[in-house]
Amino acid sequence: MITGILLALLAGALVSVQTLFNNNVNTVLHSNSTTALVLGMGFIASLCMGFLFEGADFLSWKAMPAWFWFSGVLGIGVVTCVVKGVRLLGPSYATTIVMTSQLLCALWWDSAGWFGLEQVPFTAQKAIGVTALIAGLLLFKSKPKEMKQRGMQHELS
Amino acid sequence: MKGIIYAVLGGVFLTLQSTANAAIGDQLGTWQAAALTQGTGFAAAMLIVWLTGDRSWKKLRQVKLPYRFGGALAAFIIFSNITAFHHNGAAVTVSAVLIAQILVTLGMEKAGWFGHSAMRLRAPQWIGIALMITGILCLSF
Repeated sequence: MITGILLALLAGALVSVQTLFNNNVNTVLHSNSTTALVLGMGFIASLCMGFLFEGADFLSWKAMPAWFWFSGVLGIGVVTCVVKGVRLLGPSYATTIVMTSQLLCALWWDSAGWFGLEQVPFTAQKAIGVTALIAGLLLFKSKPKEMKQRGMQHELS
Repeated sequence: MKGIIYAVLGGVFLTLQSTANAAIGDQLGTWQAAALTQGTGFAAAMLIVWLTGDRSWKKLRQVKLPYRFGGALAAFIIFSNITAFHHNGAAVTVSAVLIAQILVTLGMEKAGWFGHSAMRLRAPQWIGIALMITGILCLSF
């Protein structure tokens, strides 16, 4: 239990570190080149992990539907949008919006049973979750009045 | 406003990606799925770089060495995520990942690591984060 939780916390922390690194790459490179670099590095690292854990078995690919070949487009969307969002809004605010959008999509598609997902009923607990999430996001971005008047936009971004 | 649209779309793409990755991983295996999605993504991204005439990659040497390897962290993220998933299942893992991500990002921005001046957090921000964590837990379990 504890090992699993620690690993999950590590994964989340690494996502933040990756956001920081990508943001630093983007200060020098344009966003298209940044996206290509990030995905290229991820590809190489995944190949290494594949060979490390599975050896030669890693290369025994099964037949697959054609749409698998286009799945990479989603990764381009993720990296490009998150890098641009972080640059325009600042990391914390961008991350809170990305997360809210992510959770709402997951909830929506789960409740609708889209994309071959097993349909999960929308319960009162989920309604409370959505309300807390959105209220928290709005509160996080709320600024004290005097700040707005002085136009201190960098307080949060 | 533009930033908000990008962030919202980023979240949509992330959920689409994890849904697709789960389906691909079921059929091919986790690392095959990771290599396939990022490899085809890389190829398409290179095509976009070429089509848009983005030559900024020539300045890659100006990027500090560790930052160039940020993308490789994906492999460690996937590994920790899968192992955690096997230990505890989806609810605990997903919520722990998101909570760690939000708190670490906040900590790094507060410390000024993102190049902006260090961020000051007031009561509304802390309550906001606490509410969001409550929301994450309600939605995951």
